[in-house]
Amino acid sequence: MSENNFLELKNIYKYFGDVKAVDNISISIKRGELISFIGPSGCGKTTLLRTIGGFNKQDAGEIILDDENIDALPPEKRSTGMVFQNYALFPHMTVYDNVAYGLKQAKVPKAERHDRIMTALSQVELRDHGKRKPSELSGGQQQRVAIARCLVLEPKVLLLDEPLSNLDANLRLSLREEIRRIKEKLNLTVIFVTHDQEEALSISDRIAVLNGGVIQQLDQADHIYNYPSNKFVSTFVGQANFFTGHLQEGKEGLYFDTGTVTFPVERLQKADGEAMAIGEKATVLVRPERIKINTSSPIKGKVVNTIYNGNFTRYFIELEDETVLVDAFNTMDNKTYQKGDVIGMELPTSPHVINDTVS
Amino acid sequence: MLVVGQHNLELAAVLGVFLILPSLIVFIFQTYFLKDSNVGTISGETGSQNVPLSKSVKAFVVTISSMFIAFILLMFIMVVLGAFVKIIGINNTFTLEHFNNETGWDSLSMSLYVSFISAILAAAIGILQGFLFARKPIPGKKLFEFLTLFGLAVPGTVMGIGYVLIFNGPPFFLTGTVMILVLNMTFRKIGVGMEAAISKMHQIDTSMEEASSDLGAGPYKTFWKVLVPLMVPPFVAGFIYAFMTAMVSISSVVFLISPDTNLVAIYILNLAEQAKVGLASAMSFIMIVIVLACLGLLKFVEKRTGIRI
Ligand SMILES: Nc1ncnc2c1ncn2[C@@H]1O[C@H](COP(=O)(O)OP(=O)(O)OP(=O)(O)O)[C@@H](O)[C@H]1O
Ligand SMILES: [Mg+2]
Repeated sequence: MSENNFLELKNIYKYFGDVKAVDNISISIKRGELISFIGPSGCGKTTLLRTIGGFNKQDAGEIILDDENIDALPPEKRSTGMVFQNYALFPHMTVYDNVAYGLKQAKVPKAERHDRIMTALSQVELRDHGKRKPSELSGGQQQRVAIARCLVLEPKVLLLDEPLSNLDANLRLSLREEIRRIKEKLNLTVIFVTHDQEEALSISDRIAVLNGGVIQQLDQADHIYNYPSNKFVSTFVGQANFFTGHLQEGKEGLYFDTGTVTFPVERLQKADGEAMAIGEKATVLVRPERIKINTSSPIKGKVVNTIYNGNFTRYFIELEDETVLVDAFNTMDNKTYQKGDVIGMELPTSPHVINDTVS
Repeated sequence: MLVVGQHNLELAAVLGVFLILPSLIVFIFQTYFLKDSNVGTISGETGSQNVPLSKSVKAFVVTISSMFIAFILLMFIMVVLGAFVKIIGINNTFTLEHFNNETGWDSLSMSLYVSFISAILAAAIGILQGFLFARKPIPGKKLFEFLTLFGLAVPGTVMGIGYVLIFNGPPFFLTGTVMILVLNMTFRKIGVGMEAAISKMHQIDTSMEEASSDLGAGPYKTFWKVLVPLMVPPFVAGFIYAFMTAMVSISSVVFLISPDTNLVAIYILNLAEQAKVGLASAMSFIMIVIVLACLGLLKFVEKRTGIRI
């Protein structure tokens, strides 16, 4: 029971004056799971995280952690550990004393305290840096101290608010893996806030996409990418081409008709799981890499721009009034195209139907 | 002024109000208008360009400043000479006899004592006030802040007369006690510690306190273990500044002293009035050493911690 609902948010609301920062959010998080909150700036990620940590009190709703309702508890009484975006290390204490701080509050005996501090520092590979002050550490090292400071208390949930956003690209990558590794090793339950979709896709067991204080979708990374529930999720995570039209049936089977182009499709399923009826209107999502360049395809368009990305090239193709994105892998064997070329596009037969209509 | 010579308290108080007005105006101007216009010049880049001075202007400015510096140095030199020779200009033989002045040492130790206590109090109260103002929603805190800072701006004479009026009769009969000197100096200098604390608190992100509570420390522990240590630099800077200015303050305490509670700054004034130049110079020399030491210490602390007073 408590393994699957280790941390449960039930209908959480949080207002700041007229602003609904968190709007009826419910999530069940498994023990040992890493969940990312992603969404645009101001969508309520930090607010939700701070509500779980006890730094602001929700206006309505319940938070259950390990079968205990923690709503009434102040931060110091909750078994949550928060890593702040600016790390919030104590500048007047050494690394060792920063990590010791929580254990002293918990009145852990000195010998045990020392062992636990050294273990925590080893976990983040900072065993030899105990005597330094935070100001004598690099950004990545400070971040790891902040994590060690939380880990040493063995929190039930680790809350990370954009912990990597101040770091350079390489460091972000390696620390991302490190967080993942520590989490696996200690079976930690982690909530990870970021506005970097790639970071979320690579690190998370599940992702919650937020917008305007509402969860748009909560799912595994590949589901979020391949089966986004609506237009917002489709465009926030990855690149999207939308086609709005009707499902039709002809001599050769089902096809999708946008009014300007038609392409054959299989049975299409709506978000609610029901099959789309013949003649029904819907918007489908096609990711750029799912469109194949195929000269014999009847759907022709003109290349208006190209962006070379190393392993793939993104083509911007004019199709009637719209611009369609097509990503083609650069294998050195396949043909590349230039601005002005006219190419044929083969659309997938199983595009994903989204919840809302894009006109 | 009237008070000392003629014991006319009421008239002095009225005159005091007129003394307040100009400083009130300057003070309001500084706090509210200069701050904004500063921001303006920072963003408006071109305004803050340094225009190179022409040679003749430069020469003029350098001459004037050199003259001022020379004048000030001359005063210091005269004081030092006056302290160590029999009668300056008349009998220039070296002597330490001017330092053999029991009343002088008594007044010095009284000054040190009063200044020390009131500087500690002023810095501590100021820091606490600054912390509360920066972190807690306190109704009317703008007004409190204004009044506290006003203590710095108000002419000392006015404040001194105010204290005499209030404490010269029941229920608070304190004139002539050490207590009233400490009270006066403390309340005059709270603003310094407060400003230092407020600027420091703005540097300390609230996440510092949140991190502390997240790690299991209650508000009390957080205050003592995290905030107090971080407040040491502004406290020290505020203390030194308050101590230094208290040592040399005259105007606000001149009406509050008694033969038992004489302060060295005022005592020097008395010596000078009685043309006891040697004795006055000797005490002045000691004061200069103390103030210079404080100033050096203050600069050192400011440099080490980035606190500005
Ligand atoms: N203390 C506060 N007082 C008033 N409004 C607030 C406060 N904190 C957040 N808000 C508002 O609540 C909304 C959500 O803010 P929040 O900080 O949770 O966004 P976020 O998703 O973390 O954004 P970002 O990616 O920029 O960090 C915003 O509209 C914000 O302006
Ligand atoms: Mg945020």
